[in-house]
Amino acid sequence: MAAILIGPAPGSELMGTVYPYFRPYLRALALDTRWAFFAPNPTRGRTLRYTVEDAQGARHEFRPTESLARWEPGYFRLTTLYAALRPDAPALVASAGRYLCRRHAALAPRSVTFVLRDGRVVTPEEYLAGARPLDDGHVEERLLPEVACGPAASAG
Amino acid sequence: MIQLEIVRIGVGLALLAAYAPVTGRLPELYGSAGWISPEAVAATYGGAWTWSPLDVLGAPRQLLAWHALFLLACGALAAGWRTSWVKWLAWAGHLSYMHRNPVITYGLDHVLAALLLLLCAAPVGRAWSLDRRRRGAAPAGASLGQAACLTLVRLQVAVIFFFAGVEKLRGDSWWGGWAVWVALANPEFANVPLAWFAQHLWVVNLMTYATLLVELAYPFLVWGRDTRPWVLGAALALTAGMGALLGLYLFSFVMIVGHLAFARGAWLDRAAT
Repeated sequence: MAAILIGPAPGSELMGTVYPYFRPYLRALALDTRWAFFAPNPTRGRTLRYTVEDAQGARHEFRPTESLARWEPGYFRLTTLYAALRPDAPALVASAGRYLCRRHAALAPRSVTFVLRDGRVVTPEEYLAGARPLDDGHVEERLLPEVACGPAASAG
Repeated sequence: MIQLEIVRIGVGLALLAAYAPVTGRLPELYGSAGWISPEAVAATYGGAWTWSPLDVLGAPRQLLAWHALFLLACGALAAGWRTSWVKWLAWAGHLSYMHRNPVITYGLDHVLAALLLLLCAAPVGRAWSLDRRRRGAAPAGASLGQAACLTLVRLQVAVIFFFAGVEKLRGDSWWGGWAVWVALANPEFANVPLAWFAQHLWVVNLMTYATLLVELAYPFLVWGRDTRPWVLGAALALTAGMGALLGLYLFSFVMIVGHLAFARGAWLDRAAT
């Protein structure tokens, strides 16, 4: 019962005293969640793109979020994964980059660069006027640091 | 207690539905050479208390063997075959995936982990199960353990709804009445044509505030004898609506299973006959 109540409880002086004793168990049992579904605000549209630079210096763009169909197995697992590749998670970005180096080994890749595209909310009026959430005019693009591919990936 | 058995069957089926379709993607999602390495997980989340057997069983064949065993356990849990120990296998298996790659876990996984833990403590498999057929004995009356575990399952579902509502109170889109529009317009979830909602914004406002009202009222009113049918009906409608509008079918299914823990035995008897 304690785990049910303490896991999602908000931070306070009392919780700051009690929570450290429970944290290991809550983490081990995967109960360290706040049940904040669509909260405090629902997320906006986010897409991930990446560019593979091959041995000749040519760039190949891939759009995993946009090419992922709704009915594909693991749809939400993959969208969650793409959304997790952020500047504040460099180890995840590096791991994903190395994975893509191996996946595109046929291109003899030199590096992988991720592009985050954060959408802004399209108002109902804008929507009725023809705007869509991930139109170029409604997204903010950010480049993540380049992930270098090792010789193994380049060798194919 | 039939309510606990409904939760057992629902959780078992939900685990199967969540994990069986990703069988072809195991190396990509959970393999040592997949998107997210165990080292990246340790560096990002810290490794203590979250070790997973899949941290070392990362080769495709090892993953497949683990996965097959896990899916069998989930199926056995749903069918109620050797329930007293397969529930532990299903729980440990689910945690092993969550800990191996926490990056791809989402609300569904946490709800399943919480319900599975409670099912492990509960004496389940005594009705609507192969165990019941095998033993052949009439199901005993509700034990103290069953009653206590059912209360914990109910408390868990109430807590989920309560915090889901409270966390939303911190968001300006929920106060402003347009949060449902933001969710519907997110291409990740968009599952219905938006034009109609854009033309009828009052419906969006109504849905946003109704969501808040139901989530905040549920944990208090679902315990009352007179208020339970109404608040449970509203919660079922909210959960089913969310599943349909946002394409969160599996999550909605699991939450509906959780809500059914509050169904009275007499209702279920009437529904069964």
